[in-house]
Amino acid sequence: MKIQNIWDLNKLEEKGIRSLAPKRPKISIGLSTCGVSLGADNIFEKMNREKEKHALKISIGQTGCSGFCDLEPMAIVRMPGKPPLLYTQMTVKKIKQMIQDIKRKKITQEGLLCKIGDPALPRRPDPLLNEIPDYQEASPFKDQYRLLLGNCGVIDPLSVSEYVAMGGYSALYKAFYQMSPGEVVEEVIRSGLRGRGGAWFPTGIKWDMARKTTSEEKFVICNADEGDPGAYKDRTIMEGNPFKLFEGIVLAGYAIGSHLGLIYLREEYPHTYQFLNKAIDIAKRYGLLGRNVLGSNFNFTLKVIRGGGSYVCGEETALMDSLEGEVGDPRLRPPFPIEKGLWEQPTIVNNVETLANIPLIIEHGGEWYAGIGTEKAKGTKIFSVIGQVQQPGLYEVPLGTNLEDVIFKMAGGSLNGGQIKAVQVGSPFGSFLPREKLDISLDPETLRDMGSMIGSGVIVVLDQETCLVDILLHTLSFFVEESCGKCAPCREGVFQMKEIMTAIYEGRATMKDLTDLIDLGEMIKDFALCALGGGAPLIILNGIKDFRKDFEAHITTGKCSWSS
Amino acid sequence: MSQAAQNKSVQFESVPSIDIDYMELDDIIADEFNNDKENLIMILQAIQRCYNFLPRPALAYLSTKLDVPYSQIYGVATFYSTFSLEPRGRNIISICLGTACHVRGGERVRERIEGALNLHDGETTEDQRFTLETVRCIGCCSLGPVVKINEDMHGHISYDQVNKILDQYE
Repeated sequence: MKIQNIWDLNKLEEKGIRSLAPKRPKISIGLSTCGVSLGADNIFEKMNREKEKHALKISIGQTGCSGFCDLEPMAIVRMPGKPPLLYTQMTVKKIKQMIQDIKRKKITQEGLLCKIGDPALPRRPDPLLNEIPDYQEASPFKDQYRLLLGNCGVIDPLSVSEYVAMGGYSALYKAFYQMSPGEVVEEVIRSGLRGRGGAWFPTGIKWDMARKTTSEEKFVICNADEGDPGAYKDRTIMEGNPFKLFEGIVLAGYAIGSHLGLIYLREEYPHTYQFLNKAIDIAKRYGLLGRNVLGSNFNFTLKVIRGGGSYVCGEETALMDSLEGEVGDPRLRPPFPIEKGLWEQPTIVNNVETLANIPLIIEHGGEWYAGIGTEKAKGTKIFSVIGQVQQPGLYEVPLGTNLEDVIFKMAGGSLNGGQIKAVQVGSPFGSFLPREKLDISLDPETLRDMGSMIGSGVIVVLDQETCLVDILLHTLSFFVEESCGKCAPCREGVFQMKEIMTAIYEGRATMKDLTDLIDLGEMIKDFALCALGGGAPLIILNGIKDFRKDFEAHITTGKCSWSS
Repeated sequence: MSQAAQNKSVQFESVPSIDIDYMELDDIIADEFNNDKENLIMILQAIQRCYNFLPRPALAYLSTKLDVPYSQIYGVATFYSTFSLEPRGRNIISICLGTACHVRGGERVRERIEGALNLHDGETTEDQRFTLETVRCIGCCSLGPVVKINEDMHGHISYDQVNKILDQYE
């Protein structure tokens, strides 16, 4: 069924509402990469078998990941007349019990986390709005502002109708039938949205320049080469709500006048690759990709391209080399991608999270969006809190939220109740901040003024037992491995830094080596070709400033200061 | 990088010759990927799925089919960590050593696996059962330490589970 007009869209919405508030009980299992790794596929299979064997009057569906992988496998139970219930850490045994309870119209208590009200915003008629939204009160969702993640782990990610019921595709409809491409760009500029991949360049300005270039062909690239260790927000969006991303990509294409979108997906996500291709086929069937999208005269093709396992290919110019089938070397700029990008044509490269924000901005207006966040950084940001922390996971909060609030109030502080020694915001390039520097606002400007960066929003929490020299050396080896080798400061310089760091770690170094390390770092910072090479020494330089004691202990005693 | 490339080419010479099914290569290059130069990485991935590594004759054939210099194909094949120019084991173990897994004991899991199989990073067991690789982050950070074997994820691994998990793969 192709969606041609608003009536089709409304019909689909009704279908989605029926699916979200079904007449017969429905159990949906989280089948994202993380759920499957904890046995969700096994549960899914067993349930289907059980259903057939006993001719059960329940439906079995799937959902994505809500960003808290250690709570997987999750299940959502929808019973007629009741709000959906979210269960965590399911097993085959627990599900069997649950099926028994459903038969007796009883609510299973084991594993029950919360009931789900309206997860995102008041939108067009919402099937769940009547219920009390306890989702927002339950830890770990408490205090979050889940604009992007709200539907992840709640709706069936491969159901267009459920996405439409949650307000999906109304932005694209509005753009096609009420706005010119210029107006779409205007709206994005007004929203103040900035790129979430790490560079924080204003998205609207990038689009405006691309729109104004005169070229027969232009391209939209969605950067899904989520290589920062610790980041998995893009995977969660792609596996939890792929149509939202597609809607954002088509909007970008409409805005700049492009008819081809490419998702550059990192090689390490095999499950996501299969999944996205499935979702693209479905979107095509519904006329949401391909010829005459949503019944308009706009055509758009979307393809997923798999990378080859190279970190530097997340850098936009290296990414384009890789798409052209070459070795991923960053290119010299200018010319910028918006002038000469992929195959020498104007190209915009946007991160998954950035593009997922676009439908919200078009639907609710740039001004509404600009009301969230700080003066210079608008909207919400998904932070991936990992390491020695009580509740690791994805926390979506408005930019400008206090770092301490995220770590202590939301993520529950350190894992074993111990002291926190350091926190790295913006891994792998962001600096390690000592405990006393954590009372800060999470926005790009604050972090930049501290000599660090917010990056793609990975927050690594380390407790007292961690040796900073060990962690810094670990990160440095990552940079050495992933250097593309094009420029000498990065290829040779970072390698030498690692040699010196290894000597320090093993207790073979002198204080002179520490000074050399600083000098070398200062030089690389200024002379490397791309941001990745220039960013590599920063964490070491700042690390030496804030955790000099750890370095000195290794140099003088050959071991960490805290170990006796 | 350059050192790794050298190692690859040195060991490459000792690779026994294998039979290349050129019809199958045609299927991949022409039918599946339209002879498109920009699909080079995906074509190489498909070839690697067939042979478990990238045989040199297949790369030479690919070079003529796509009209891309052999040197460039060799460059791509050695640049991206996903490719191997030497035969690999039936099962690929990828140990995640991203920051999250590192601070949650990924190194100890690595040591345990290396000990159990008597292998180091990048090596293959003599019976071709396992190849060991380390990767930086597979995006399952709350499940750390994580090990990926083929396409299966294993989360929350403690090192006494290592042998039990390895036993599942033949």
